[in-house]
Amino acid sequence: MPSGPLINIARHGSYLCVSYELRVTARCLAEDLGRPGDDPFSRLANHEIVVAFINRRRDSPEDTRQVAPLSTGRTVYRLAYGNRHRGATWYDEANRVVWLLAYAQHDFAAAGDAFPYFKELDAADRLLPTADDYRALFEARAARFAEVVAFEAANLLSAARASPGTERRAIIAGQLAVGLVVEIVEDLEGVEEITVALRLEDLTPESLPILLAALFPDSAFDDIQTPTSLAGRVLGKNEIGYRALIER
Amino acid sequence: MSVVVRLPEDLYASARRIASLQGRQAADLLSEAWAEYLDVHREQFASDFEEAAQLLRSGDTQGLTELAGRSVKDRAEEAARAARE
Repeated sequence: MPSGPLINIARHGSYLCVSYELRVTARCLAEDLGRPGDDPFSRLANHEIVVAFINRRRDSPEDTRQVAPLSTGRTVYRLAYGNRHRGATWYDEANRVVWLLAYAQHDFAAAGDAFPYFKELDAADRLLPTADDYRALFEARAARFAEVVAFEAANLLSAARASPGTERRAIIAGQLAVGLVVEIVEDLEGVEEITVALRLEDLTPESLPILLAALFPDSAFDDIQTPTSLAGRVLGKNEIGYRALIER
Repeated sequence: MSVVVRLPEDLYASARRIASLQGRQAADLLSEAWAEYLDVHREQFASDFEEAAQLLRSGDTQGLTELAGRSVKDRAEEAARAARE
């Protein structure tokens, strides 16, 4: 059973940060690091470039020095460990992930410069993550969400019940920003009204009904309303609200 | 019977593109798009809600994982395509 937020730890193929995660593309894993495609992140953590990846990208997904120019037009940052180890990372903001796209040893005398290699990968459309990389990312997120949604939804409800009328916030499974308020219904003994606001950018068509089912387990779907405010504030344009009466 | 959906990646990308063309806020278009999506897919959404409630009651984490990941393949292909735009 999870006991707290999944932050700054390796979990399967990811290293989980506060608002995004670090991952290595399958091509980089196999060809540049010489590791199996399903190697968990924790087994990579002793590699010099992965040490740098965690230390340099854990708190900030971006950097200053870029690998440029690239045909993709993406802003790809340089990553360095010591004098020899070089990597290329891309912050995929839409999907909240920093990818380690490529790695090479920077050695002019022997193996050559790392950055021409990165540009060759770019020119061959082999630098950016593939559909298989995204599939692995989304599957891992689905598994994490399923694993903790009931526990974290219950925790949020419990916190909100401790201070009725006050909005409490959480990021469920590190993925879905939720604001929730519990209000006592004075005319109906033992009944409370639960209102929740969800950030649209975080939702998937499947996470929404699962989260609502975790928060309103005994409600019929048709009994769940869609309010436009929560705890006295109007919901933002990037939010969607749901409300139901719950018998305690 | 699952419904193929293309939320959220292409929706977000489309919202940003259209918003920039129309001089509108992406958040406005995103909100409208989600409202329309939920309206059009109301029956599927209700069905998923009932299925999720049953899976949660029975503690079926594997079933929940499958439900949570049902549109993964489509979303992954869309995300890879969007990365190259």
